[in-house]
Order: sequence, then structure tokens, then C-alpha cells
Amino acid sequence: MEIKKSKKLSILILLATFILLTGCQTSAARDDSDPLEVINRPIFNFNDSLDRHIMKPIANSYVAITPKPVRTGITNFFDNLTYLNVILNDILQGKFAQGFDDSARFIVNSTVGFGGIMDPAGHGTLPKHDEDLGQTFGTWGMGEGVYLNLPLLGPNSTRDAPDLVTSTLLNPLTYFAFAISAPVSAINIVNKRANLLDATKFRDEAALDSYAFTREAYRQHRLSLIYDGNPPVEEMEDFFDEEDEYPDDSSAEDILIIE
Amino acid sequence: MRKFIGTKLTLILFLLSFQSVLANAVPANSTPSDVVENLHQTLIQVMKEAKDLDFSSRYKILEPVINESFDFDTIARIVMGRYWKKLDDQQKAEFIDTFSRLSISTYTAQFDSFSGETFEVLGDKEMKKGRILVKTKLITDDRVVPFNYVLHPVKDRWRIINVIADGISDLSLKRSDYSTIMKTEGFDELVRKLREKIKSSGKEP
Repeated sequence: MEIKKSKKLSILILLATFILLTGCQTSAARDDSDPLEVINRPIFNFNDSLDRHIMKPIANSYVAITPKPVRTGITNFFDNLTYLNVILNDILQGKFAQGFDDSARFIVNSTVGFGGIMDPAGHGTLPKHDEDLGQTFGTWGMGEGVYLNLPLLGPNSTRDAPDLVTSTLLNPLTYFAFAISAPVSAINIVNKRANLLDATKFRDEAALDSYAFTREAYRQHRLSLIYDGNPPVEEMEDFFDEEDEYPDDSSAEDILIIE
Repeated sequence: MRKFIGTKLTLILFLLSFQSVLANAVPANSTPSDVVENLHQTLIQVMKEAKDLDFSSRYKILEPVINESFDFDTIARIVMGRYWKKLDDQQKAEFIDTFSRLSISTYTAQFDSFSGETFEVLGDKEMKKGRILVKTKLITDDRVVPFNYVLHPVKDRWRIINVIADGISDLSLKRSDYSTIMKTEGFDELVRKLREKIKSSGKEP
């Protein structure tokens, strides 16, 4: 038994080391690196057709029949359930004050906010924060790793994927019986898709290559989250110093800054 | 009598300021924030009038303002990245023209209704090579979206070269998107796709 346990632990450590290493190796590579594109693209296309034929129509009908305040309540409820994972990652990132605030927020909204449906904390002085394990690895200096497109789940990366484990384990819904958690999760998925309708509308109007557009949007969104919406301009400007008289591809990167 | 003159003067001043808003003229010595503010005013104006105006009327209002606010020559070069140098002059001109028309179409299609949105300029920040970052936010009925602009001077006039909405840089998105098409299908196909986008903008897919 003891041996079995330590074996499990060593596998975990090995896995963590692998993720850390791949993260470090690829942190220098920017932009279009996508070694798994041959696998990612078919998965993206599969997800996309599933979305077009099933998820998007359901989300549209859901929006049509559900008043906005109700949808906001549902969004609040599910956001609140993810909050234990947010608090864990506040702590892992050394944001102790924010971790304290977020704990207070979770307690206030779970109780006074009717199980998270209302957001009294947010109307007070405890705004919502967005943290996850991928962001934690990012703040520790890890690069994106390898870009992934997961079946059903969509854009992800080797740095961000481990969060699927912690966010599932720390979500109270996980510990309810399937008969309860399944239909509730279904509502979560439909509501989540509905919240993305504007974003996908914009993508469909603007993108020439939906896959490339989505990948770039994912990367920038993640980077923005890692820096809590404020990535340092100076860091991005390093690329600009390479500019010559006739700028080539590596030039003017700082115009692309995300802030 | 004195009071009357005062009122008249106020009225004239009021009308003058109103007129300058209507004309959307950016004075030659305007600041980067002025350029952004002017763009925002026009967007809000178009949104407010959207219920009475069709797509092409809104396009005509936005076209001159967007053309004078953005530096499409620079944007086109950066969006094309490493492929820019491989284009001949005619292709470059064709791309700049198509790209700018698509940008105006996209703005026209996106800002198509009004529900109390406001823009607020928060301030600016100097960047390298004389570039200025103007930070603003769009306030809608249920959330606040940061809209940041990068501007640089072109012949004594500030022009926008990038828009970063909610942390996502428009230039990066397009660069990544277009370079994929350039790599796999080439310039002619890219321009054909852009023209198709212009045609379909403002219509339901």
C-alpha cells in the first residue's frame, strides 16, 4: 500500500516536471508556434460543427426564453462555485490579501447572496477575481507550453490544462450525486455558451481562418489574465528594438501589446 | 441688455461647439486623446442614430472619421508581417484599400444599436519611439470593457495603429489570422476573402 502510494506520487512529480519543462522550453517561442496543429485543427472543426448544429441553437433559444436578470443570477451561481479554486490560486500566486478578500466574498455570496445567485459582495468592496492554475503557472514564469484544442472543451494549453483537475476537485458540484450534478452542469454549459454568443458573433464576422483567430484570441486573453489585465508594456517593447530600416516580421511587436 | 448679450454669446458658443462636433474635424494640433475622443463621439452618434439609418448611411458617416483616425498604411504593413516585403506596389495598394474598407464595414456592423453605452478616456502613457497609449473604457449596461489605443504621429497628426479591446489586440488577431491564409492560400485568396467579408458585413450569416 505504502509502495503504491509513493509510486503514484512519483508519477505525479514526473508529470509536473514534464509540464514545467515543456513550459520553460517553449516560453521563448511566440506567435504562431502550434506543433500540434495537425491534431488541433480537426478537433477544432469537430467542436465547431457540434457548436453550430447543437450548442449555439440551444444557447440562442435559452437567451430568447430566459430574462437577463435570471441569466445573470445563473452566471453568478456558477462563478461562485468556482471560487474555491480562485482562492487556492490567489494563495499560490502570493496574493494573500486578495485571497482573504476572495474568501470573504465566497462566504458572503454563498450565504447572504442565496448560494451565489446574488452578488452582494461585488456590490460592496469585494469584486470578482479571475484566477486559475494556468495563470498561477504563468505568474511563476512558465510559458504557454503547447497549444491544445480539447474535444468539447476547446482551446487550452499544456500550461493551462492541469487546472481542469483542480477546478473540478474544488468545485462543490463534483461531490453531488450524478442525478443532481448532471442536469445542473448542463445548465452551466448552456449558460456559458450563451455568454459567449457576442464573442463568437464577432469572430464569425471578422475571422478569415476561424481556427487561427480563436488560437490568437485565446493566447492573448490568457496573457491578459495572467497579468490581471495589465501586462507590462516594457516587456513587450523588447521586440521593438530589433526594428531596422525595413522592418521585417519581428519588428514593431510593441504595437501588438496587450494591456 | 447686458444679460441678453451674455445669453446670446452663450448661445453662439454653444452652437459653435455643436457644429465642431457635427463636423468631426480634428484640428492639426490635436492630442492623441482628442483623436480617440473624436472617434468615440462618432461611434456613439452612429449608434444612437442606428435605428433610423441603414448600413450604407452609417458607413458614410464613419468612413471619413475612421480614415483620418487610423494609419492604415502602417497597420497594413504590420498585419502582413513578413509577407509585406514580398508584395509588389500594386498588391500593397490593393491590400491597404481592401483592409481599410473592411475595417470601416466592421465598425459599421458592430456599432449598430444604442443602449446607453458611454466611452471614457482615462489618460495616456508614453511608449517607445514616440508612441502614445490612450487608455479608455466602454461602459455598457452590465459591464466595463477596457479599450486601449496605440497612436503614433504621422505628419503632425496622431493616428491610431492598434486597438486593444478587453486585453485582446486587434493587430495581433488579424496578423495571426491573415498570415495563416497567406501561408496556405496566398495573396489573391486573402484579398478575395476580405472582399467577401466586406460584402457580408451587416447581413445576418
